[in-house]
Amino acid sequence: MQEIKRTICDICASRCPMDCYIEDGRIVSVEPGQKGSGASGLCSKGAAALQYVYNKERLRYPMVRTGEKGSGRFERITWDEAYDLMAEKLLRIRENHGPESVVFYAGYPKWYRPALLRFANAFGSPNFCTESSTCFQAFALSWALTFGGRPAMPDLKNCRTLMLWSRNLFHSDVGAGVMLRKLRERGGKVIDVDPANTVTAYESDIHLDPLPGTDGALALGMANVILSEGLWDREFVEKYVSGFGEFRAYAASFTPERVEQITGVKKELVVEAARIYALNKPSAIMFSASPVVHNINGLQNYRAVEALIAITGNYDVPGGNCLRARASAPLNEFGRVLRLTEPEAIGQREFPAWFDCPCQEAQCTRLAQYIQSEEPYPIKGLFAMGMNHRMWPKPSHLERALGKLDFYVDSDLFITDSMKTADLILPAQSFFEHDEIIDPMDGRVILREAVIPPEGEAENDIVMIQRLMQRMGLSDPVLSGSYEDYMNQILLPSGLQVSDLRGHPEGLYSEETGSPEYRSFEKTPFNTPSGKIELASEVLKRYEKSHGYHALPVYQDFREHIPEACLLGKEREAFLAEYPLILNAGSRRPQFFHSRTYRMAWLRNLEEAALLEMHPSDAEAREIHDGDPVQVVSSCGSISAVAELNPSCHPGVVRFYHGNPQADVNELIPEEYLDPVSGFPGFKSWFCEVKRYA
Amino acid sequence: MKRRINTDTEKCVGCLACMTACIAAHHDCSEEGARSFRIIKKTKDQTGTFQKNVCLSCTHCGACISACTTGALYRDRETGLVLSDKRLCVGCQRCSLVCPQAVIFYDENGKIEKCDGCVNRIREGRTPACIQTCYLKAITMTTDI
Repeated sequence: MQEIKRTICDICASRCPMDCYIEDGRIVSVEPGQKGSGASGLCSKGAAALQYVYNKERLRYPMVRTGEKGSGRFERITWDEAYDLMAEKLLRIRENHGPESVVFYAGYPKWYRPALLRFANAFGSPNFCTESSTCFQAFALSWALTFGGRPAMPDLKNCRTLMLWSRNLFHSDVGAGVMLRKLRERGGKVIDVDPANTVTAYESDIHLDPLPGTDGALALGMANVILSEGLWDREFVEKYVSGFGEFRAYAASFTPERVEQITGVKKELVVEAARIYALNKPSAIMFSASPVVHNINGLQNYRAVEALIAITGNYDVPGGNCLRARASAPLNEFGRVLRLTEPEAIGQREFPAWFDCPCQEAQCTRLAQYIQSEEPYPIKGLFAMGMNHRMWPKPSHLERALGKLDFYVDSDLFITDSMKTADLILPAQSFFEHDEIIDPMDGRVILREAVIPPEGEAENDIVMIQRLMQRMGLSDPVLSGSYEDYMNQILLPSGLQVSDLRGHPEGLYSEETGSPEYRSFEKTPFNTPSGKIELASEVLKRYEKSHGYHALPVYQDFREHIPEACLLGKEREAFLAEYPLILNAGSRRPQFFHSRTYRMAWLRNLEEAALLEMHPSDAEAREIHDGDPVQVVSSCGSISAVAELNPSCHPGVVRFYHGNPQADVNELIPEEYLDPVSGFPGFKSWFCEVKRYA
Repeated sequence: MKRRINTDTEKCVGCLACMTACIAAHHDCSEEGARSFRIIKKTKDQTGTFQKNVCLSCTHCGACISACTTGALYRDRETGLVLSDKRLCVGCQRCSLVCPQAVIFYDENGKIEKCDGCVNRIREGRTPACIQTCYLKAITMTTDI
């Protein structure tokens, strides 16, 4: 007897509704559910969901290390033994080295983060870190520095112009591609900024194709057009923007000719795009979590893009970039739990702005160095959920450092490569196996109920945290009850309860949801030091001398500012001649999502997994043909790949997807290649050469 | 009755969802080597500066039926789909010579395997998996009487 249960897919972050056909407690097939506005579908990853949940690499029991560290040999133990072991080891490290010597780390997914932060707080460690140390948070920081709050989202319903800045929608969230086509059908203009001529770029009205990492120069050039042609919003700027004069003077040097020289974008297109964005209002910009900020000037580059919103008055107005264009139900926990600020956290010395605009997590981009050097203090323990060393540059260095820890525990759905150096590994439940409160950000609240029983002894991450805290004698006001109590705590401000939501997979509207709001700035000043939008950031100005930060969104070309440590003693010109191609790591391919779907054979086998996309002109110069095995070489490593000649690629740029255990492109990127403000690695624009295997 | 399955290559963006939906509809998730009855094809625009993947499948045109001398390929009366019967296939591969889309495959014994239009799903009143999964409605099914 088959039963259909509704869920919301969480294999990637797009959250597509999904219907599960269940037989004898097992999912036998999945189908798309209904999304808002009638769209319905799944992506290649969701359609292969059974290979995810029933993967042969699923970890089904807690296991303790039996061999040497790094040997990958484990044996099954009970949950009771696992909790005892963790309590004993973590408490002993705290006693000997202080609470800050234990790092609490959250990888993907993100839903248990507030509970893990509570655990870190109860333990006394300021070192709550997440995968956002190399993803999204630099964008959020760029926004916080400029606008003093969280990123304002494009009001897609009401905009007349949409500028996609580095977001290949059709391959990162194909369901959102439906929205893009609707927008164009109703006459909206789309400007797409992407180095590659992607399927998204192809369907846009204007495609701007800057070299990866030159976005800041392009945005400053557009700002210059808008300012010099008088297309800016004087009233808005006068009332709400600080640093305008300095910004205007700085942007003036970015003439269309100079912008073309730096970015490669035709000067006529720079002018045309700037005019459309400024005149065909309201205009909205859709940002992306990482591509732009994966550059050593990435944070300032995104600040330059954000300045366009400020000078044209497209901030928090209908059709612009808005804070509450869609009303959300009020919920507890996410963004409401504060990290301990004492003692000093890792990353605080190098990246002070990260902590001045607090995102309630420490910056662990240099985790390997902290462990190895014992600076600023020894790190001896790691409690991780979803550790993935492949998200760091030079991942093998972190893997080695993890092997040095006194105690390292990691929970995950799968037995991962990052577990090889662990002392204890714990099986986590997939979203199919536990109940979870979901916020679809439209006024509803959804209880996504488990559709199948857990695989083996897989446990709910939050329950793991609750039981371990209890075993350690740590208390927290909202984690001490049952998991359902905790979900009710999350729901509290919405006026709903878990019992109301059960049996309503489509969710319920909260009566506490306010109506959509615009023009928040008329009521509340910006949460920046000046109370205005800061084109010249007062937070960054504090660190001009000590850290060399610039208050304005200054464009520093990555090709001219390669850190000394990355040059390995070579002259810059010689280095660039040796590695003349720009290596763009991690631009989305539709069948992969970071490292997690390589283990799904149906996806891995769709195309060559280790595909190096390159422009035919670059291939020809190297006598490389389509399908040739090639070696990608950088100053700090090499990987084997298969060449795909693709005229959609930007000449001079090669693209390779990250997280591949057989060919990890992040090995080619040195640890010191970081944005000095955000700490983000320059994954999208490093340097390499490609050679055909003889 | 003839049924056709068509892919609009203008609408297709190469998201590959239909590829895995097809595998999932025909195989158990433990079958790691399972492949799709659809194929990925690279296409370029007229300027030659743009390339994308598109996913194509059997259109159920029936060209293979006339090439088959053993009756292993036939049009199913009930559903109008072009189906194959492995038991009658001798592995001569004549069908693949005439297939305009190059979407005929052979199993490890050299016997024919091809898109069955999700005939079992159609009998249950469900839509073929590729069509159901495509967000962009690039795949459609039509019936001529």
